[in-house]
Formats: sequence, C-alpha cells, structure tokens
Amino acid sequence: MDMIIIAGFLGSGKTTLILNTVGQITERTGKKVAMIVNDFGNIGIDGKVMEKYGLKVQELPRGCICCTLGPNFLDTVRTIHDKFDPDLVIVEPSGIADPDSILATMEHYQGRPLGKISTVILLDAVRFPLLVQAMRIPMTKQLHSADLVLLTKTDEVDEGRLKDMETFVRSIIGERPIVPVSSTSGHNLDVFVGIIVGA
Amino acid sequence: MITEDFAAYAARLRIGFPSDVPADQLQAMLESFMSGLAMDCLEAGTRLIGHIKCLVEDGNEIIACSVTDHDARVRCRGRFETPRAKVDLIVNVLQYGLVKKDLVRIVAACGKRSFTAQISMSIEDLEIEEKELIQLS
Repeated sequence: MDMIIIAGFLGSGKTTLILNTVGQITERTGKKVAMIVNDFGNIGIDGKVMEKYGLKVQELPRGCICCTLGPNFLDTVRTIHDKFDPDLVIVEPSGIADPDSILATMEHYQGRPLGKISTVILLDAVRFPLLVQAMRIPMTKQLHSADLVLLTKTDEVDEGRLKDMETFVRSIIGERPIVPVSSTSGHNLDVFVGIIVGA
Repeated sequence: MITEDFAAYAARLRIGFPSDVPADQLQAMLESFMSGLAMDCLEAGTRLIGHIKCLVEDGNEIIACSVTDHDARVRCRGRFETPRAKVDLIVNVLQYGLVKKDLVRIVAACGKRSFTAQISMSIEDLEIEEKELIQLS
C-alpha cells in the first residue's frame, strides 16, 4: 500500500482537488483507493463532503494528525491496511498540519510494510502574496517536505503570479516538480494524476 | 501551520423560522452569513483568514460553503433546492489574530443578523466534550 499525503495551508483546495481526481486515479490505474481525512472540530466537514460525493472516507476529527492525533492516525492506517488492503491511501491532513511531523509519525508505524510515501503540497495562487507575507517561515517549512508542489486556483490568477510563485517555490524545493493546476477548470489535473500514479 | 495567534471555533447552529423559507432566500442568508463572518473577523483584527467553511446537510441535499480570501467571497458547492423552516449547519472558523472568545461572539452575532426572521437559534460548541448550548431567543 502506497501513501500520498496531500497537504497545504488552510483553504488551499485540498478537498476539491481530491474530489476531482480520485475518480481519474482509479480509472487510469484500477487501484483501490482509501481516504483518511483529518479535520478540525468533532464533526469533520471535508469528510462529509467527500462521502456525499461517493468516496469512502475514514475521518479523524478533533485535533491534528501531526501532533495530538498521531497514535490514532497510526491505528487508522493499520486498520485500513489490514481490513481493506487498498493499493493507495490518500491522507488529507487539516490545513494546519506539518507534513514533516506526519512523516515522522509514520516512522513509528508497526503494521505490515508500506510502499512509497509521497507528499504533495498545495499552494494557493490567489492568496500567495498574503501567505508569503504572513506565513513565510511555516510555509517554507511545509514546502521543504514536498515531493511535488501544486500551484492551485490557476484559473483566478495571471501568468505573472504563477511565475513569481514558481521562482519562490523553486528556490526551496530545487528540481522537484511544480505543477500549476485548477480544480475548477480541470487545468493540469491529468498531469497531476499522471505524476502520482507514475504514468 | 499553528502559530501563537491561531484560533479556531467549530459550532453547530440550529436555526428555526416561523414557516418555510424559499430556497433562494435561504441560499442568500447562508452566503450572507459566511461573508459576514469573514468581514466581522477582519474588522475585529484577524490578520489572516485561514478557512471559514460550513456544511448544511439534510437528507439528499448538501451545501458546503467556504471563504478563504480577504475579500470575503463565498464559494459554494451545492445550493438549497427546497423551502425549509429550519436550517442545521456546521461552521468552522480557522483564523490568525483573534482568540476563540471573539470567534464565538462573531458567529452568534452574525448568525442572528444573517438569518433574518428567525424564531430560534441554538449554537453548540463542537470542540468540547460536554455539549454547551447557547440558546438565543
């Protein structure tokens, strides 16, 4: 079972991206996909929306899987692995999570051996200037853990914004891939799926 | 990204109206509530809106609305399709700058202001184990 962590700041478009691409992943690969969603509050909004749109979701509400919910997260991964044996588990942490801490938590995983663990970081193109100003250090830390960076909501910004973002992200992640996407228009979603399924 | 000034509030609002309210009016009220939350937070000193999102679920209908930008623009997935005399919604306000007490006050005030003609509104804090009901009129 491979794992993909789809992380990014609050409101960066994680849930929408998943809703718009899980179908493509299963169609293109025939892989069985499971979802783990961590949301704030004891009734998770994101998990409920995903279930409404036909996805089977294991929710981890109230807390953050990168800190207080670490042991619950490991239990959940092991349960999914043993019970459903999916080919791929997609983890959507809350937007306040630190992906590095999730990866560190996974080092304590004691279930059957996992395959590859990848981290995708979403960066909101609309709010990029605001986020750089207000959250530069944590955002940089989050980007450091990325295997792939998606610049989201490209349908709402111009080329200049995307170039600025790419320059900023490239200075942090080097040659790792950066893909501009829009879940609204569908821009580059097939490219994203291709990368994560290794097509 | 948790910083020292991060605060969040998750609540369930149950709003009752004296009779069925048309779907388009309910939609307008919901969007007004969501943009009002963002504007009130910014006015009260939020330095960065993380995510303000809500979910209305009733049978087959589901409406999920979200605000992330400082222009308070509301994006919704789904719309009210049928008239209703009550609305049960879950709201999460995640932001940087205000403390939770401010968010509790803003949600209550905004709920009262946006859902006009309501006859009742209760607010349940979804973060605490012992459910605390705030009953408003």
